[in-house]
Amino acid sequence: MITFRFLWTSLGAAVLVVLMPQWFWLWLSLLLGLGLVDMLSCASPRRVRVVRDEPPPVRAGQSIRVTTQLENRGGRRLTGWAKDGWQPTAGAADPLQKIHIEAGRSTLMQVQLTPTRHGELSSQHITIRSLGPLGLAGRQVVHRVPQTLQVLPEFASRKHLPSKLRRLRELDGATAVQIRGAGTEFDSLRDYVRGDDVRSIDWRATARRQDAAGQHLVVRTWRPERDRRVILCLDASRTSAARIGDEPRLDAALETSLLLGALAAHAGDRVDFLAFAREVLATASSSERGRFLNVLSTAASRVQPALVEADFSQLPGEIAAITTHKSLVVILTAVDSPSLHEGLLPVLPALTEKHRVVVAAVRNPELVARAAARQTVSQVYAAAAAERAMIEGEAVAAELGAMGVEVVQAEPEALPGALADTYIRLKATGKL
Amino acid sequence: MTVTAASAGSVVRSAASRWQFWVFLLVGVLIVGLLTQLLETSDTETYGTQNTDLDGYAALANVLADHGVEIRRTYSAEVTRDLLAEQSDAGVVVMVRGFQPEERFVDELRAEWENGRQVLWLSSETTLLSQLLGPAVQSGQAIPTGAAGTPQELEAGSECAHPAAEAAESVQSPGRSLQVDTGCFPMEDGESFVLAETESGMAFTAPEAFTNQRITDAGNAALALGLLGGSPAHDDVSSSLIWYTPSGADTVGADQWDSPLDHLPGWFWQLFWWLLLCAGVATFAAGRRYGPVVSEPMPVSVPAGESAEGRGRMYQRANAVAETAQVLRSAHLLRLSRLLRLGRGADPQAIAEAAARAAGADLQQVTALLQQPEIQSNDDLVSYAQALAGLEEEVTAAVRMRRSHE
Repeated sequence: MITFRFLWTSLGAAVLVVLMPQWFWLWLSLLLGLGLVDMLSCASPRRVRVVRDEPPPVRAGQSIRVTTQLENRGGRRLTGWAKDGWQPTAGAADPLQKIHIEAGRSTLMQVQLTPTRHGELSSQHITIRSLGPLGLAGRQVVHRVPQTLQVLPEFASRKHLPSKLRRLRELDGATAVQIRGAGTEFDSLRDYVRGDDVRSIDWRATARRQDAAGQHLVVRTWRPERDRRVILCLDASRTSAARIGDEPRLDAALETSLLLGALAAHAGDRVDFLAFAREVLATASSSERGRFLNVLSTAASRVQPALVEADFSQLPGEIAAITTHKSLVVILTAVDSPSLHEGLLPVLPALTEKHRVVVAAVRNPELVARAAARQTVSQVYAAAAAERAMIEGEAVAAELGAMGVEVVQAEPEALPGALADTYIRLKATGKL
Repeated sequence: MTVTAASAGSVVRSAASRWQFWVFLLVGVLIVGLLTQLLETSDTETYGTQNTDLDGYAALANVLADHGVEIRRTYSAEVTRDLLAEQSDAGVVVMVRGFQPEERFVDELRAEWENGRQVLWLSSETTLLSQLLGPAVQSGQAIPTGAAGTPQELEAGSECAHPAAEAAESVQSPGRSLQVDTGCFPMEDGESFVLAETESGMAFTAPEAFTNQRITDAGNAALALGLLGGSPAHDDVSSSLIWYTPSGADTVGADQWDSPLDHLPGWFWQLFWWLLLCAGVATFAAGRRYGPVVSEPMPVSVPAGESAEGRGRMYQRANAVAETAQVLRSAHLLRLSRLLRLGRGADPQAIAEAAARAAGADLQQVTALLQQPEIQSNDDLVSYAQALAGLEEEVTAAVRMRRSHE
């Protein structure tokens, strides 16, 4: 290969051609000779050993520096360029770097990555271009040493986590919870303060508490039950590939499962995650070793939308394999799709019989905007189509509600928060 | 050390296999080109002496060569002049096809003819010939053709004094004639001749007669050999024939501007080739990639609004005015009943009343809007849709106002 310096040199040599045109062949052979000598005298890029480390997982949108060690095993000093072949969505800032490696020494090449997409991103090769001492020509070789980076979903809804956790803590040991019965656990006894439900006064404890100071009414407090089970079922079928705004439905669903998973794990519940299309694509459980959020993120990063119809019929079986106890089953899917009638609805009775089922879905804000635009004839027809889609979605939601299923629908950014609120409400009312 | 880069040999091998198809294609094209070049006859010129097609003179030229006549073809007056000076006894054939010979050269030929040299003008361009050969020569009529396109056979005629024409007796070919005093092969009017004697030489105005297609018709062959010196009488003498076809070669260079290329400095072409080389260098320097192209396995993604958009287009194509109005109406009824807290499945009349009360609008109008509307055209539909949206907006504003007061 030849460099631009070779081009500038040959353009400069055009002056010699003008001054002494009769020596054309001499100038030509001189130029070619220089190039050939330079190419032969460069350090061999083939005799470079490439060692790549395994970078830790990183969230989408965050930056990381990945390192590659280049060792010059040849006898000459290697000067030139190295290019790391990261795929475009890895967002490599400086994949092409100048390198100088003395003979027998090694150097570290660091590439800054800012991945924009979750999943397994990779660089399959690194290209070493070695230049001769004159920099006119050189040799180039591709070393096929792969390096992969596990990119976890962005988890932008992380910002909701502190506020939701605080609300959970408020529930925990909160003032006398009015609703008694199944689903609440006895926490402690404390003095009655004005505003507490009189029905929660524990008369026996009050009788024991009598002293000289006078009357003390004692109330029982309750706290939300712990060690409940939450099963997150993520539909990664063709409906999840639909793009709403800038991102596919799946991304919003992943964000939602991450927030709810993190929240429930903090609340002391056991969380299982299940992504499926025709078959189960990824699973994670809070009973696994390690921080659950990392486990869940790693599992979620492997999920990509598949262009197949979801097979809901396996869902009761998969859930039964996870637990036989009553659980909160959260199904993240699309409610506006007619396929729900054939897919999810027939299997719902089997689920609602045993578990509490919540269906969470992303609402398309585009439909609302389209239904409101009514300036031209085409817009009116499009508005009617959008209204129709919304009516159908509402009908499906009503049908689900009639079967005892809680339906949470929100726009992509609002869905994680909305589902977390639903979870907290269910927990507070002891319906888990 | 584990080898992570492909060896030089395998790189060359894989490049060779990658370019294999193109290399074979190039070689194939070269071979085919070479073969067609070799097989192709060199002469495709009409009346060309090497042309073996129907309109060529190759047959005649071969017979003449067998009789020892050497044909020297020229295309410029300059070369012809040299040949004339060189060979004082050679005959001259001037084949006029479009291009006119120089006038000076015609005069020279006249002098040669007067000095006893054989000069034969071959052309069917009789108008051109009459200009060239002097005022005594006029363009005559064309040789008539029969019903099937067969040209009439012409007899040599009684006035004919040319031995070749006498020997040939008749010719048969399409062509034209010249009006002159004497000649052979007269036309029906008796004034024009196909083989005319002029003051600049003999003029034969049916050159088609000597082509490979026509040479065997009637007395064409005998006439050709007689005119061009292949007659048995000359058999023992090896003679030569100057075959001059006027072309643009005479005019080129004579009265033209100098070529700008002649005034370039001496180093121009060297610099030109050098810069061409630099362009090649630039191509290679800029075109070399840093390793293979990296592809991105993109996940599938479909715009979610697409199905609704498609349904809208389908409504419009089917002109489904009534159905569209119905969909809009039910959507607004649903939303209004929710807004006014009338519950699911409320009666449209009840919704209309509540809405009219909330917005302070005319009950009649609101009822008309929310009952089955009469929508006939697209214009109706647009105004209906806008009226519905307006009603909902009013009701929303009123409800919001009332609730903020509560």
